[in-house]
Amino acid sequence: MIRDLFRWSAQDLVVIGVFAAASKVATLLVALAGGGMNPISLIGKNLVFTTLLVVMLCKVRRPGTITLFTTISIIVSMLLLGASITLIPAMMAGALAAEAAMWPCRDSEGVWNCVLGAAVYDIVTKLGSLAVSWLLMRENPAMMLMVVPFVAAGYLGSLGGLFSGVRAVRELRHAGIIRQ
Amino acid sequence: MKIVSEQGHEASSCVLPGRKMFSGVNPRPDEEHSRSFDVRSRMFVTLFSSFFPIAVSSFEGQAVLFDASFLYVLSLRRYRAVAISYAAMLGMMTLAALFTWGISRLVPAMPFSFRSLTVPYLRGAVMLNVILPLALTCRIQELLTALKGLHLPFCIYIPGAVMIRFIPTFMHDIRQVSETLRIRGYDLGFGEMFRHPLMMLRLLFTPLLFRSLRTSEELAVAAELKGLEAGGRFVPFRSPVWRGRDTMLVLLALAAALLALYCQARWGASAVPAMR
Amino acid sequence: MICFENVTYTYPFSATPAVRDISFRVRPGELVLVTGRSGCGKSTLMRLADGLCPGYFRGELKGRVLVDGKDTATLPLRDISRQVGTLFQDPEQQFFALGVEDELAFVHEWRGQPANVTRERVRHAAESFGLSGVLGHSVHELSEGQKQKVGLASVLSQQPRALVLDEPTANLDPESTAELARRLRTLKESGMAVLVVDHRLYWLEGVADRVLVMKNGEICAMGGFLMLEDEGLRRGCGLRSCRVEDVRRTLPESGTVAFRHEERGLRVENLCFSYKGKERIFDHADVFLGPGVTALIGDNGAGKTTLARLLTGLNRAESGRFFMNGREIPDKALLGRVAVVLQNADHQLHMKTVRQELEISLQLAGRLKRRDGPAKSCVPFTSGELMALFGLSSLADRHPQSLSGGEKQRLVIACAFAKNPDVLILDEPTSGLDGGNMLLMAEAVNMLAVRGACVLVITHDLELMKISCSRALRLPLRRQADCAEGKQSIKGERV
Repeated sequence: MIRDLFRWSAQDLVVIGVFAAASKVATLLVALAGGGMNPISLIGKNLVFTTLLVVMLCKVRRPGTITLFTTISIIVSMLLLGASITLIPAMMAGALAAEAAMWPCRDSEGVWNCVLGAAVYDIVTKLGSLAVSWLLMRENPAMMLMVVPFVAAGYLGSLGGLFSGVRAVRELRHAGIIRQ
Repeated sequence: MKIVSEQGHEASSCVLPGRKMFSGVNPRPDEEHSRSFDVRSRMFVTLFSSFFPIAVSSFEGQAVLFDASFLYVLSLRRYRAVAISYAAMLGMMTLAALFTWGISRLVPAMPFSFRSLTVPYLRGAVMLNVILPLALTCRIQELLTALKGLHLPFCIYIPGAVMIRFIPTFMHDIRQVSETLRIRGYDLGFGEMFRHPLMMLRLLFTPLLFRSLRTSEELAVAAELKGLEAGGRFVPFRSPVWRGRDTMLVLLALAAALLALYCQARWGASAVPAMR
Repeated sequence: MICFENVTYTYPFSATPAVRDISFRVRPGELVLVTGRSGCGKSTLMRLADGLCPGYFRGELKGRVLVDGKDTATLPLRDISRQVGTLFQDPEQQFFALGVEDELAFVHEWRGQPANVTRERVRHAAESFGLSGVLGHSVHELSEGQKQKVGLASVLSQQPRALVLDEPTANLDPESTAELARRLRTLKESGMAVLVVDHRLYWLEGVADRVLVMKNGEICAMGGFLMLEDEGLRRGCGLRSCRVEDVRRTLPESGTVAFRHEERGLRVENLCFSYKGKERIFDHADVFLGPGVTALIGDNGAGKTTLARLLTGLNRAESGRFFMNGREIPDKALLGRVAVVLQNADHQLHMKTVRQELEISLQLAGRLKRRDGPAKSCVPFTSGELMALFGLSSLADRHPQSLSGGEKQRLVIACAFAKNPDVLILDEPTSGLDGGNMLLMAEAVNMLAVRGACVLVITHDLELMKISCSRALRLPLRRQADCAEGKQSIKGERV
């Protein structure tokens, strides 16, 4: 079984790569359109990201998907966009927690296990990013209070993304693009 | 100032100015200077500088890192882009300072002082300095070649390469989608965005979602037909060249880090000299 | 080389077979053309030949497909792809790399070829397809013809023994199409078995050895190319013409009419435009589009799409005056009067059903008209009329993204009709459409022209040009200075 975890089909890998690109572009453009720190754009980009995450998890139904997706996103973000390595612990913790949450129902064909995975990923990542922010700003704890509302706004977007993710999957089924 | 809060979409990634981001293959003449370094050495400096400043909490140590990284970013000779990035960063820093001042008025236990902001701000500036050379000069194909050179496993290389390959395509797609919305008669102004944010997101991103699924389907078929599968032996036909100057860049980065640690040890770990 | 023996294939999640009882063979040195109406099973036939069905798409296969004598059901796709190379309609979707050279090398790198062998194969492929000059370019910078060359060069560099091409001419201009035909003839002569699936037929006259016409998943006719001269067969199976007249040089010129206040149509005077840092594409040029259907003709890079964008107001001209029906209008108001349908239909569909897509287009059109003033008196369309006109009534509740390529194309054009525009610009409206759908499109466009609209068609489709277009606007446009005499008379008349 462990060996199976590392044997990916080209099809699954391509889907993960395409969705990583789509989520990166979509969130980047929302942020650019609304300004990085605008609460509406923070909500918007998290909403889009989580929606795409739910759809991807429904498309590639196998353990390790969210971890691989996160790894790829981190690598490319660091190489291409200069994202900070400090993001890694929070994102990897989120991915691993999501894998653990999805493991018991890994054979389920419905959308709810994917929603659970995305929800766990979002909450753990957000908490982790707060911890990282504290590390970066520990000399001035007051600044942490500024970070919290932004992370909270982002999390609101993520919650919305769970609902829009379910709706998107239903629509894709209606369109015959995702089959149960 | 970089607020680390999202899934890798931090603000500094979004405000890189003066660059046609995600452009194609051929180098521009103004990039020749930074192209004299191999992408891997620049990647190393970026990665190293992403985590090392966290360990340094003294003003002197951060000042050393800032000076070294500032010289590095100036070596780009893209002064306008650097100036715009700094202006954006200063704007965000001012905003953060104002916010912190507001908090200090509400919570007296958290007194406001510019001095206590110095080290976090320098950390942010160091990160910006090392991010800019990579982000402003790296061509996408160069990154793909670098990825090949890293000898990553199949399950990392393929999605990574696909992601890098499709970022420009999707950006172009989104531009096209917004154009077709304008043609159809939708108002894409800020007012409409704020009045109907969900509808606007749907209009802009539904085509992207479907396009992602179709693209992944078509590319997966192409992958099968090209015979891609795990366990295959990958031999790059062209490898990036590591030169003496790349080694020098890495050594200089390490030397700056050592000097920063020395300064921290020599003059103490307080955030600012006045606090000692 | 490729042999079908009583093949019946059913996709997963489908109750009915996509193809039934198919038997034919493609021998080495032979080119077989497969054609038929959209959805008749042509693409499935292609997927069976290259092993994607059932190797990738799964499903149930009865009968046998043999490649070089071996049953594809027993071979891994990797092995089949060494024997049979496949080129898709949009080659860019096959590319894993951004650079031409890297794309040519990609498959060899993954097959573990030594670096010098890969370099040699890349060099050879580039030389034989005339791509040496663009090896360092991004695939995004290439024309459609060049992209196809890269795709074909990549496939052939793997030295397959058979080649399968899916609608290879859908995005090509007539010159690139002719070049492809010459190349296929050469490949055939070198002993390669070639299977081509296409709606356009004329370009394979003298090249195709046999033609298979499919209908409802079955072969309804098989024979030599001359068989396609039978009009009954063509009409019955929704085929295009087997011989096409090139009217690009013979269509009368548009834009030579002097200005009149009572004129109908779109006139642009003194148009100047250049992209940042590039040479001027339009330098004090004049354009006139009268009622009727006009073809926009020009080489790749001549500025066809740019002109369409300028006429729509999507790009702002550096200078130029726009007149609609004799009255000057600001370029900002153009979007309310001009409708344009760009090439990628997927980008233009946002709603959950076909009906919703049309209804929202009608609502938006009403809003635009109110904003920019009434355009003309003729009665606007209703969603029901538009669905009937474009043959979409039975698809009213379908999700737009679930439609076939041709159906999507019809829907986005129907949405443009909803605007009841004074000017309609269509960019390659019939690429990838079968004969029946092409005629439907031509009829709809002609109907709009009869209602008094000016229709500008950017197309490489010679058949559409022949059927629909009454004149041509040729690029590059004449400079104002070149026609100074005519210009003076125009000014004099206006005064």
